Amino acid sequence: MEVSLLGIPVIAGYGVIPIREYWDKDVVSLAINAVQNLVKSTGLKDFDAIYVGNMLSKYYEEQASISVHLADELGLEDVYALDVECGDASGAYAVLEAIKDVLSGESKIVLAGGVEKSTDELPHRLYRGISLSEDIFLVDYIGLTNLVNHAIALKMYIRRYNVDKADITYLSVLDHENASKARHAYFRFPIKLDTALNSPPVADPLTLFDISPNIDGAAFLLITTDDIAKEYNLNYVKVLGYGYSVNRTRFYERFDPTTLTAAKRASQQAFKRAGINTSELDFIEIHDSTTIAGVLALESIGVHGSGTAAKYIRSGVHRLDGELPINTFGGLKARGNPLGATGAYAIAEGVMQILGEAGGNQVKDAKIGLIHSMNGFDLSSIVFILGGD
Amino acid sequence: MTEISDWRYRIERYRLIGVRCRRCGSVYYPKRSKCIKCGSSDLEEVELPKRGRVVEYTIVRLLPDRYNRFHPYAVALIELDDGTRIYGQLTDVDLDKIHEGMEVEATLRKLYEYGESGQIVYGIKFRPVLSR
Repeated sequence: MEVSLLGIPVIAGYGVIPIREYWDKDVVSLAINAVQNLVKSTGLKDFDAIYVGNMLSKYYEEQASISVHLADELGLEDVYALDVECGDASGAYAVLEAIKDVLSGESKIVLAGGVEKSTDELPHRLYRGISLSEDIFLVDYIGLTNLVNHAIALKMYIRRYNVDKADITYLSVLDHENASKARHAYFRFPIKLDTALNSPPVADPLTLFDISPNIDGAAFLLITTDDIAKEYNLNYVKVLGYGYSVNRTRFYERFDPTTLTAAKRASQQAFKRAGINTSELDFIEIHDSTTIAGVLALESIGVHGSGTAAKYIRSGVHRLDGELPINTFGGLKARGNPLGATGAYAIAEGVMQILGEAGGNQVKDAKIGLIHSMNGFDLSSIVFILGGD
Repeated sequence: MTEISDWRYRIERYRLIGVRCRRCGSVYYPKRSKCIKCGSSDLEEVELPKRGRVVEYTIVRLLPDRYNRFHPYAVALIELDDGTRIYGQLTDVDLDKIHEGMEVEATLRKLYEYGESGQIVYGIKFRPVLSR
């Protein structure tokens, strides 16, 4: 566990808004709404620093410096405000910045999370936007999109390990099942495997139900130390460990294309810091921007051996009532993937589980959880291990 | 991309010019400044073979505006005759007939054009080899 003289870093509050299409709101308003929910539940409205994860507002809305506008709207002065961009892992990276800030002693109470207003653009511009983290040469001169690496990896994986594609796509069925009970999820209904398998192709062999919807959302966390949380009578979750890494940006130059090397390194660091191993986890939130990404993430963080995760997902061990639940509110596929906010949602969900505030999605005796978030197809990955007191 | 960056990338876009590591022989396209296999910074420019074969491919159906005229198109992981692996867009091909192992060769094709400036951007795509 990360311990400094200042105490243990903790997450002592969260504020999320339901993931929806908010035609009447701009990116800063979405962030404000999520922060208002956090303020309402914690009673705290003064922060030393604000970190805002966002991927596309500079490109879509042509709005930069969201953290500064948010500070202004919240009436904060003398605050450290910083935007954090790391593709669809931006929200998670913003939270890590807050943790490091608290660990350094520079700030005591920090607001961090992410916001994305994906619906402000037409689909064709969205497809360019969600590929922004990829190498510009490959995107503009070869025609790469964010889904190409996922699709090619899926084919290599099926060929290499002789896996049935239905077992991989089944992750979307599990996600929808969990999201059907979650108030803040975008797709609140179950689906049948046949529906998923027979949905239209998007990047063969990926079909529409293998990919996650890019919708609007905002999620924020309150990061501080255990001592300060106690002082304010706040329930909190400890940050037991964290890790981060990067991978080769060109998929075809990766030494092992069916391992998410950044996720692997990030989880190893996180487990080492936390002093635990995979057997001690009660639940996992993985970054399943596509079904194959989710399957590979489960293997890369060491839960299953190479080529076996899909079989386990299909067997039911990862359902909400299974041995090791994953994506407890529906993951990216069904809770939704508001890009720069996605990682912050996953962390907030982890906090809800450990505090016993997950309602119909509650995992029984959830004490320790792992949260994985990644940028693109493992361009970079970040992992947190959270634990109860 | 802008018209300026299109100009800057013109050589690598028109020809398969990459780099070879002078120490370990690894080849990269497009260019990079350091060898990721051995760490050497001693790299020389090299023109890659124009032929290769499809290792894997996908058909891109959700795509940016500028590629609308080619919707849908295939992007393939291609192994060139010298063993170098690259990504390439396929052209002049029936999407139903693409298969792993299919022999392809580099050719110059239109990529997109700018509405206002009217600049047309050409680049390399790969087409099936008809006869050898």
